[in-house]
Amino acid sequence: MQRVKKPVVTAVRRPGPIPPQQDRQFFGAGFSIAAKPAKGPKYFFSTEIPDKYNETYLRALPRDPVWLFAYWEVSGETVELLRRHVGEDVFNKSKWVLRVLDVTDLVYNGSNAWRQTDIDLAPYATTWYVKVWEADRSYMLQVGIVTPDSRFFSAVNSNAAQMPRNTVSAVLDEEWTTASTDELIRLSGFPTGKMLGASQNSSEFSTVQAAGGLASGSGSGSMS
Amino acid sequence: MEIASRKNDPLGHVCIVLHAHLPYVRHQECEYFLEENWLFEAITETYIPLLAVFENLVADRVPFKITMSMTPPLVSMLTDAMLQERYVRHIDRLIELAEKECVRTKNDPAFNRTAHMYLDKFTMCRSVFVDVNKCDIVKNFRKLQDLGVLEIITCGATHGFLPNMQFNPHAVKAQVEVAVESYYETFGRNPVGMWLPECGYYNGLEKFLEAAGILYFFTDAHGILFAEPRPKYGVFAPVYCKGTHVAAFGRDIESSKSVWSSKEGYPGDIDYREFYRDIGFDLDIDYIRPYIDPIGIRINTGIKYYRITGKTDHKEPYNQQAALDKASQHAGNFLFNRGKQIEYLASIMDRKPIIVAPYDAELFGHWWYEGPDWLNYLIRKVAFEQNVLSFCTASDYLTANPRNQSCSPSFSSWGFKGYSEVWLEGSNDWLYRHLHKMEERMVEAAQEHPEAGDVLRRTLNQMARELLLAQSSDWAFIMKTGTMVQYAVRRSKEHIANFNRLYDEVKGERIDENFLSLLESHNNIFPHINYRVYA
Repeated sequence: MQRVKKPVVTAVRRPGPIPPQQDRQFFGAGFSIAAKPAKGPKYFFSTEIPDKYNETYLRALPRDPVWLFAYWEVSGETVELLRRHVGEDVFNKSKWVLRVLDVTDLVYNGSNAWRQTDIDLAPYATTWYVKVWEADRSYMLQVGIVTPDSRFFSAVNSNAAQMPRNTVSAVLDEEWTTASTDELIRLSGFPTGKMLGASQNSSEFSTVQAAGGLASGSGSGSMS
Repeated sequence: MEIASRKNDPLGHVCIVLHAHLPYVRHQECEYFLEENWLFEAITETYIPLLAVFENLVADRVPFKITMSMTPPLVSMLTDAMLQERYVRHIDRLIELAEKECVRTKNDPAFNRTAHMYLDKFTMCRSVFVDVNKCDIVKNFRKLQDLGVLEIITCGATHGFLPNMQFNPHAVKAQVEVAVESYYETFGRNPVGMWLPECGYYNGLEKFLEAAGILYFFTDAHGILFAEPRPKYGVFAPVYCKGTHVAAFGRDIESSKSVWSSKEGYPGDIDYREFYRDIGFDLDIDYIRPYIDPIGIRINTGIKYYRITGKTDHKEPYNQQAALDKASQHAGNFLFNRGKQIEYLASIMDRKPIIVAPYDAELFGHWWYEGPDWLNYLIRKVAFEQNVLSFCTASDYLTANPRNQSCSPSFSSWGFKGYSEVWLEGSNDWLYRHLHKMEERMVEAAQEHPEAGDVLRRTLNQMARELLLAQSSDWAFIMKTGTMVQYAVRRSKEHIANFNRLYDEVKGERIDENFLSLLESHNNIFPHINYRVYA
């Protein structure tokens, strides 16, 4: 048998439907000259998508305990508003920054962040990965300009992004609660009326008689 | 049907979860489309072999309980007539190839035995698929659930990574509700559990699950371990999400490593079948041409003759009996370790521990060829060779332990590094600007048109389909792992572009019905979807 060189496998979990191998450079060609097209016209859906939406927005998406991903767009209109607000001259001498604010447990009023920092933005940047100070806190971003005399004007504010924990919680007080009868009945594998949709109410047990009453689990090697 | 249980009073429980999922790939525009092979390979190597294992256990009256998640895209493909027909064509070709292989290897006993093994297995597959199940194997899984040996849970509608949608509640709600509706249509009952795509959980997700009647889900270990307040039992008991009775179960790390680890896990054993020596690559092109991609690209056929042998390029011939013996040994080893683990936990906990062991279903049979056999041996050993532990599902555990600690689990996933990085990094972060804009537009359109007439309603429904398909976490995953990147990028862009075009047509009040019909027939998942789920 002829031998094909074995590729290096680096995937540990979740290998995916086919192995990480074989560069699919041929793919584009493969699709357009597929050997046996179906009868009738072939249709290729467009893959043209816009670079931007001509709107102003800023999104902060938490990625892991200390990193968040920011993407934004500042529309021409917004830029123009800013320019008129600070004046042409000052605007041209200002720099664009991404301001990071620690707003944990507070409503930000423009000056009450626990801490903040400015990141100078490269021209035409529309995304950024931000490393924050600490996990398990809430951060907000702003994209705006800093004038030569250090005044900041925000073009857009983001949502508040709650970062996850990367340690065990220090809170030890325990609270306990018990599932309701309804919930236990559903967990026992008992079919009920349709949960969603206008037609039925979730507490209708339409097959009580047919199933011969409540069964306590299925008894097949499960709980004793 | 009565299945006698031999378990009197185990010290603890093991909850095995098989997560079966493939992204929605259906290309009626071509008679042959390479990526559809993912489905055909999985049917041949995973889903039918698992069905065969379960059916044999039932026939032998072996008690067991396994949880399986079957995602809506997978179920949609398995119940699609065109894909079913293409699968029959696929398995017929494989049988033909196996017959040729039996002839080609007739003078080489070691290889010939293996060739016959494939011929037998492929023939069995065809018989189970066509004769027993009339091409609908989902019904077979449903039957096993109705019998009580399988608990089938659902998953996000298109396996969207929910933490990346957290800022648009309508988007999350739709992924959950469309999934639940689809599940009800298929299985005739409401799902009680949900497999969160990639175990992606964030604080607040439980509210959507609760509203849809979902009572439990799974997280990676740190989702529970980092919960607030600290969970008393670690991952060995569930916690209710604060303010609800939606339970979160955490994955056990030890039992995961023994199966998943590329270094220490069972699948890397030298006697098991080597995945990367497929005849699709090894044999002469003229011989193998009819069985690979029609334009001549070599692909996996599923027929492989070598075993792993070791960290060497020189591979020895596969020996099925030796592999099965090893699988049995590994099953015994897994059982022994879980038994020790449970004995220890039971001695320090004031309730029975549960060990949650979730795996991708496709690991069993496709990546790890002997996986289904291992599972078969494990289930039988649990039933007859010990009484320390028994299988259970999350539902069983909650029914027996309705009182649990209330905690807020941590945002987490089971992806590399434990949070969102796999789906949010250099190769795929460009997606989210578009996905979030689509979500916003979908909600706007749904709210603006509470009672859409025929064509408008169809358009809004199709917009919902395009959005859901664009949200599949599979595309971002493929971009990150670098496998079929061009396909993933193309799919993402197509769905974004289709959506945007439909949106513009709705805003402009001029709908191209031909284009709409074309989209409806191509991207036809969730035929009964109602766009109002986004309102």
